[in-house]
Amino acid sequence: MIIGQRKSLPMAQHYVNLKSNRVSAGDGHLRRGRLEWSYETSPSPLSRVYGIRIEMQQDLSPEVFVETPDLHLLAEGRRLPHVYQRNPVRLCLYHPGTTEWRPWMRLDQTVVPWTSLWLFYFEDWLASGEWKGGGEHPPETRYDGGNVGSRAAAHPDSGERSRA
Amino acid sequence: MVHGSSGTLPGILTAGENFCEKWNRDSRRAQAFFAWHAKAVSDLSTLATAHGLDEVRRLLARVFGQMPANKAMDCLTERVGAARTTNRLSVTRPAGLIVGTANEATLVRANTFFGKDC
Repeated sequence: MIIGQRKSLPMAQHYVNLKSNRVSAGDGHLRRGRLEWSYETSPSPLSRVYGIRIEMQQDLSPEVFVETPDLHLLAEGRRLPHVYQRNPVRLCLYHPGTTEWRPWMRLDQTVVPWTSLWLFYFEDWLASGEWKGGGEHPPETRYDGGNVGSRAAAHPDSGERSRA
Repeated sequence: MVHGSSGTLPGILTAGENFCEKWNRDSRRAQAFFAWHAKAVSDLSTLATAHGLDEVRRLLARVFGQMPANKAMDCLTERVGAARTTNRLSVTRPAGLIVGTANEATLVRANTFFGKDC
């Protein structure tokens, strides 16, 4: 352990926090340091109810999936904004290159409210065609005659799961 | 009392006032009112069935026109954006995102949506 470095929150603590927070109240399990949590949420009283699943391995980044409804059907073939993975849809909720989320932070106070926010902007995007939630996308690097760039080195969808 | 296309609809504040006195002179006014009322009830019933802010926007546009619908829904989005910028956006179980805080609310911390499909 490095002196001054904050310790990662244990998976059991995440489990208890998710269970006790009314916003994320749902059901889940812990197995061999891996947390899986499912809950339902709605970003506004006029919104749909969405089934959310959070997966996390100790010291790795949390992954947030929208299980229901099928976002691709709702989008009617359009490319979904700010997602890592398409089926099931995994949300891009924070910039991995920043300190927006760190392993000592509570899931119920970070990715859970960010999920509500993403869903709010998603429903707005469905009708307006414009993503108003801001954000960034990883730089695309092309083959430039021999110099292969660092394509999406910091992007969690590059095959690596970022160890925070 | 209003009976069919004529009658009396007494005012609450002014004694002797009849809100529908003109209906007795021209029955088409009553017919137009009841047609409008039926349409309003139908439109509001349809709006109440909407699931999702996108559906609300589409149905509002059908009822009131695209521009008023956009204005109403964009106002909602702007309020959320402003509260997010000033760190006053929270989320609750029953109401979803709210401006300010409430019992059992969780603050929405600053974040940057990421990902290649932006």
